[in-house]
Amino acid sequence: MQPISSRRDFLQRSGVGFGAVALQWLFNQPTTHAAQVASHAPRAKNVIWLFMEGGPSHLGLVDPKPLLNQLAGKPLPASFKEPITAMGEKGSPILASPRKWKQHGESGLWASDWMPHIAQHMDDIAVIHSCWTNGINHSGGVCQMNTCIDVAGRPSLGAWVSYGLGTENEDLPAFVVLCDNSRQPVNGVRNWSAGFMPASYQGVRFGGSQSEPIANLKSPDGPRRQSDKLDLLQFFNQQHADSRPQQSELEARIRSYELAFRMQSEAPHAVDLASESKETERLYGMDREETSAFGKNCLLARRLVERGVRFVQLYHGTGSKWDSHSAIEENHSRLCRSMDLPVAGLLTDLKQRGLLEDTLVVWGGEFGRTPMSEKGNGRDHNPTGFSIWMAGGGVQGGQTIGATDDLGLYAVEDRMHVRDIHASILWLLGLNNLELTYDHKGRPERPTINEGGFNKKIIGA
Amino acid sequence: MVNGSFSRMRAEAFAQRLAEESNLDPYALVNLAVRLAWGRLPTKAERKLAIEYIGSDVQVGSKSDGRDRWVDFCHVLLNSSEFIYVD
Repeated sequence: MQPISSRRDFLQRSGVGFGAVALQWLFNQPTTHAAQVASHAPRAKNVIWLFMEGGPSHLGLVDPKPLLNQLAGKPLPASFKEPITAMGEKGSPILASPRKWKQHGESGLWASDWMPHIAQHMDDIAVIHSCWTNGINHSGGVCQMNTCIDVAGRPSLGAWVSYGLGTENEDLPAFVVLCDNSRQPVNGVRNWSAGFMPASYQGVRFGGSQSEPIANLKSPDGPRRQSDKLDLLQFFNQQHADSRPQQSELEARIRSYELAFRMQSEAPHAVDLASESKETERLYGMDREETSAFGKNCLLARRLVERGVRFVQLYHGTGSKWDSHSAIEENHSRLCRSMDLPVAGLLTDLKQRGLLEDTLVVWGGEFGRTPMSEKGNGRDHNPTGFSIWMAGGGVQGGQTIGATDDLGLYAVEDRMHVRDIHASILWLLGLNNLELTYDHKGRPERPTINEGGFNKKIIGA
Repeated sequence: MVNGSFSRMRAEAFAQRLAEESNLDPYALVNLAVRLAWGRLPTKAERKLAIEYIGSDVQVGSKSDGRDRWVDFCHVLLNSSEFIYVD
């Protein structure tokens, strides 16, 4: 007898008594088959990506530019190439930044008074000042920051990571998305799509209510009734999928029912915050109205990486809330108040539990903001120069990488395109962006589209 | 789809629709249900499994062990890929 090579094969041969057989599969089989192409020893096992959606101002957070205040009210000097702005306002004067800046820690990294709590962690943080992207609007920018290109359709980084490394917990998805409100980020679920790869690698958004943190996970049926139903359903779906092997979505749907079934026992523990101490809740700001929503997600992120979830993406300001074409002072003040403390709490907690070593924390938006004003008191999108920061997962903290010009308009030193950012994240996870390939219609597809490279300054080399 | 209230309500309505055909035996009812959901008749194997699942002597609208097998069968059909995806 030939060895059984796939579930399909197994079920074909098992014939009658299918029900019990399928249930065995539900209990015993791994769901994701990692490409297993680690090219070097990984520094990080997990990623927590804190996505500030809408474009936070690097000029008000981590990239101080005294020239802004000196030139406030004046036009952009002729020595600067005039940028194309998203909203098209031309000749707008430079906008002063009222921020108070201080150097922090032994490293003396600059952070503004918009982030007093994160500022306490600067020695663990590498600030990359020289990021740039092609996406000038939110849709293109968010798409590119997730998929490496501003045109829709490619797999997101989280999907590549779950394809490349698989999951460490068969009872939870490898790639989880959490949003700080009930809205969708721009582009919606496409941000965590698997693109042309099998849909099993896509992200799963955890979002529900207080009583049910993951919507529709709990079954109103008893266990026996549910498993009877699922057995029949999986039979129909498998038979349907078998005759359409080119449609990976169908196989993914079957797997998603299996995963959901296993999640019913595991996920409620993962997302049940009742076992956390009051002290931990305070650390994340869950006791305060302005920080409770994002604090809860940050704590969930820690609990998920603790349980082996590979890639957790947290949207803050979900629905382009960081976008500040006018009244940036009020908007960013409010957003920073809800973001700063929870993020600092997450860093503290990861560190005290020894998880920061293996967990790469990435903070950033889809682009930054212009030194010129818009509508008098706002700033337009700046895709040509902006900052992100990283901590943990092998990152050498207490350093800055690259630089923008004296107004923070263009990245000028050690420029890092989104492709380089992705290549660097992949490298930290033990993956090489040019070796990790997925064969799509005879064409070897790579996560950074054949470009981009690891910036080894990130690990202090 | 499986646990949400909407698809469960639709499954009940689907079973209700089957109950209107009081002159049909279970085999004919399975044929009708599959035709309504998938636009084709079930294969022999599919019908056999369906009947095994429902029970050959279970009337539409009757409950045993607190569950209505016909409603559950309709619920499975509404969750099936063949119903959800257009070829």
